Amino acid sequence: MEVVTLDRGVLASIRQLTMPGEPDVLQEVLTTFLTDVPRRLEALAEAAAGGRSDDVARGAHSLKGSAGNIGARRLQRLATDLEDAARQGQVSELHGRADAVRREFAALESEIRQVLSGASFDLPRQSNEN
Amino acid sequence: VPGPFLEVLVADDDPVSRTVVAAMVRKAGFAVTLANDGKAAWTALSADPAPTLALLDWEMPGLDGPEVLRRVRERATATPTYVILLTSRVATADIVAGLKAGANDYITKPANHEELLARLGVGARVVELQQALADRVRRLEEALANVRTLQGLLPICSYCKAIRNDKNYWEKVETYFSDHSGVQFSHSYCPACYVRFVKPQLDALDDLGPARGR
Repeated sequence: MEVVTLDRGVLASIRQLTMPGEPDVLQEVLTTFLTDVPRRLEALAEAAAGGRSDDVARGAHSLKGSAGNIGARRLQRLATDLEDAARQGQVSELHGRADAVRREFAALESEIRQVLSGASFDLPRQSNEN
Repeated sequence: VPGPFLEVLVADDDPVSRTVVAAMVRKAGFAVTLANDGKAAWTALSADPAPTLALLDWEMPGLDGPEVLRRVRERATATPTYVILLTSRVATADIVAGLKAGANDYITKPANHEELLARLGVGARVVELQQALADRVRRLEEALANVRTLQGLLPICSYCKAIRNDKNYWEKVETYFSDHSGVQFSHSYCPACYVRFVKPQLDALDDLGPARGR
């Protein structure tokens, strides 16, 4: 089965966490993701280039968690592969796998920006009724 | 349904996970305190009063979740925080290690909304039970302290049998005991005192007829 870039069901369930009269939680989470992840990718790329498997494993593990939280399925999968390779000490694999993670983030970022700009209509609108 | 106003600490170094989990907890009606790393989690958990419940991430730089837990559990309190460890480690050995470090429960990451709330609900019930028990123990200890006062050495007057109380006043035996134990007295006389005190008085008052005593 094809792994989606961004699981809309997860986005919808995050949006539903918004409290009446409060800012949209989905907006907050996605903005946090876009602000936080690039610096972690940078650190990850450096660790991979330096062959520091432990740092790569830790960074990939944490990225896997963040990706899972917003339903970024493909990034989650690639980060898991990178973490596994790092834990098994496959140093020659690290650079290529870290690069795959970086490329997936670029694709994901543009999709997230679309969601943030409201271009995505398959998401339930924020409700302040309950 | 969780009790309102229970405080939940959400400790996670990943801002994305922290934001999502905090929103889930807040939505369920709990009050949320945030911690960005293990050190901040330890500070929050050692505050007085400490949060009632905590969702503690395993992997944090500096102090990790299990280390924070070990420190928290070293301090014995009457109502310890109910701690749920959040982890993406699913190996049995890891789960056992987390529970042994002092976690009450664990949830695998990313946290499922329903499961997280259900487990927080269990925690809230356990905490309520614990608080009810702690209250009961405190009340029993207070009652026990009163009983001890009665078992101590009482200065009693050899002649009138008055008792010297804690504040250095002499009071009647009846007053002292009812103040210190809740015992109530019903006044009467024993057969020897009847012969010694009551009968002569009755005899001296023939015209008033037979005994008026109780």
